[in-house]
Amino acid sequence: MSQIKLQSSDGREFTVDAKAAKMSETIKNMLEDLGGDGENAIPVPNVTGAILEKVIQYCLHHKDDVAKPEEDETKAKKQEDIDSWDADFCRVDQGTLFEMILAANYLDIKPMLDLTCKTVANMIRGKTPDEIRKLFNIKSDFSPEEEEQVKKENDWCEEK
Amino acid sequence: MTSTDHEQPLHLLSLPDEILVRILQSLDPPCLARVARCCRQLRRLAMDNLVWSKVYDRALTVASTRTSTPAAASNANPMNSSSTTNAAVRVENRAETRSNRSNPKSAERRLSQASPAHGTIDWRSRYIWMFGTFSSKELVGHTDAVLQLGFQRKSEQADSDNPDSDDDDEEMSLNNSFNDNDNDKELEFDSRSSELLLSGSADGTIRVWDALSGVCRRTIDIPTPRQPAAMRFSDRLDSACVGGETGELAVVDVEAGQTVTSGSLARASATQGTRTPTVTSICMLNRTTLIAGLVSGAVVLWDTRSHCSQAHATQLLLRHEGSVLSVKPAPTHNSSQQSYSYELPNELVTGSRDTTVRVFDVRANRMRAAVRTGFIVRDTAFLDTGRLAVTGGPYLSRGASDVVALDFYDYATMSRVARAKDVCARSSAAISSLSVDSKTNCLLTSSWSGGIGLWNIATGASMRSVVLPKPQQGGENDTLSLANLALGPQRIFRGQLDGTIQVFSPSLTLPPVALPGAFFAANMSDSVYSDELRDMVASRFGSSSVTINSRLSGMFPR
Repeated sequence: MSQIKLQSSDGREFTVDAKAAKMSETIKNMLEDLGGDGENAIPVPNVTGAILEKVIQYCLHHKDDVAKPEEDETKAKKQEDIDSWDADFCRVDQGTLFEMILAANYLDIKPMLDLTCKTVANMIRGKTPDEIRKLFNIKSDFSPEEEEQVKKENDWCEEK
Repeated sequence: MTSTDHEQPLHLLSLPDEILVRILQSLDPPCLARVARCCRQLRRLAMDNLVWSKVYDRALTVASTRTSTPAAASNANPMNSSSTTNAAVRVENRAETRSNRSNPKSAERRLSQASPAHGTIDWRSRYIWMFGTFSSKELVGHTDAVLQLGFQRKSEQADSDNPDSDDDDEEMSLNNSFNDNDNDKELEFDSRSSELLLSGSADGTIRVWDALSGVCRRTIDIPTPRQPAAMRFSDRLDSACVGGETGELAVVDVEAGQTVTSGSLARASATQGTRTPTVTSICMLNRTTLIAGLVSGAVVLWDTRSHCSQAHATQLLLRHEGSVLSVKPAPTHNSSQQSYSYELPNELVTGSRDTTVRVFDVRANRMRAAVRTGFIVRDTAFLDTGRLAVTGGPYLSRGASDVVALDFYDYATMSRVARAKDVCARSSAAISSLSVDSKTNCLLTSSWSGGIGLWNIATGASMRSVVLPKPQQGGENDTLSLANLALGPQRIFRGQLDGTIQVFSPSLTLPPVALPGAFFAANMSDSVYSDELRDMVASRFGSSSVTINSRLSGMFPR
């Protein structure tokens, strides 16, 4: 079985290389449980076609990556080094990026989850609270006193 | 079809918390601080312990790489390095040949597993202890030595609710809705609770301070004894027991501001001797039983219910050969819950100038253990790992024994399991006081030279030692008491012989991540030094780093 079919929440069907699809622990487990015959499409109810397409794109590109051992725990701390393919891959609008995070989380594709989360972290890095609020369309719900307190709590970050 | 076809594109804050935590985990402290200022939800997440656990790990990793890299560079040819090179260097050399790294905190986890009672660590606070910069100020008011400090955490809402409830219905409902709305805020901000610092002084007063602002709220006069020499606040901090220069004993109700009961040891048969029965240490064993350690070495029990009939109510428990400098109740082990409680303590731990630590079972009226430590015992502290920390040192740097040490005993067997390394080098004068911060799993030590040390309770390793500015006046023997405020903003409070209370607050400046190279170089010269870092380096390379791990396991054999 080298090809399997996936069906997105909005009914689109994708035929995918099995190795790529199995990067998703969730799909891998489903295949094992169903003993899939490769004919019936596996439903992916939480993911829309557009996002599933991105997921598949990611999996195809990374399916031959050597599984990295746990050492990444410390190595992965170098935030900025996202390779150029991955960076391009994440060059999408915010809404899509967040949906990709949710899909990676649901489908349990750890490297993709790491990549997308890291991308969001990189968007936050180096910005002032105002810039962060603006970027993500967040409204401050602090009362003036809270504002003052939270500022006090965190005023060491103002690099002067 | 794309996600933008949805009515609303996904919003950052609509992601589940676990994912937001994952995102924040890769940010450094200044970024997190800015994130925290965006909105309530992000503030809560930016303070999340899971986030800070990662941040702490990373900071240690970064710092350890920094400390070992220059050493490794100077050791470009490992074959030439002598066998006595310091451990970090050897570890670094191995790093090039080994790729199997383990989690930085594995050593701590491994060791803390040995003590199931140990609770969750607040990693953010731990980070601040470890990497913060200390600033100090003084609380001035007492005119004589500060004998004891204690903290009272008080929720003002609880107090203010009562008068409110007297109002009419309409007012009530308004208040209720207001309070309901505020529940969240209360939980998150704690803005209405305050922390009170209690200080007892030889000037015959107890002062109540606002721990955050340093404003003295109240001064309570203690009519007797007129010259307090030892004082201790009860666990609930609603009362203080006081021992006097000439043997008076008293229990003071802190809330009411008056002496509840008092007595005198001056003519008590139990303390017969030529010396004035000056009280050198004191504690309450329970609500009615007061324990006093005397300059003569006697440890006496006084039943406070017996008002004034002092002579009959005192009972000699044990006798040290030198003045008793520390008396503390020991918590009782609750085997079903694997925890310790001070509910009904029946054992006492005493430390004396005669260099012994003794454990006395009050109920059975027998001494369970007497251990010679080799140094003048000034303070003991019970760690929830089932260990007892014992520390001390010489009088004013003169005297028979010059040993300054911090030892860890297994409380059940009273056998020494470890002696903290290099204590002498780090603290030239006696360590006078211990304080446990269970929130961060740290033990704080304060020495007469003005230094404060932070120790990892789980491993016994030194995390940091900071030489804080000396008090403006006074000599070497300035520190009498040390208390540590772990709730809310972290502070260290230190009572001085001249009556001032020094307050040290650690704050985060620039994190190590933002100062390549400079951070540890600078802090090293400030005598900030960390075993924990080195241990972590060791743990990352597993069992091959025998040099370090053997020392670690040697400290706390299983």
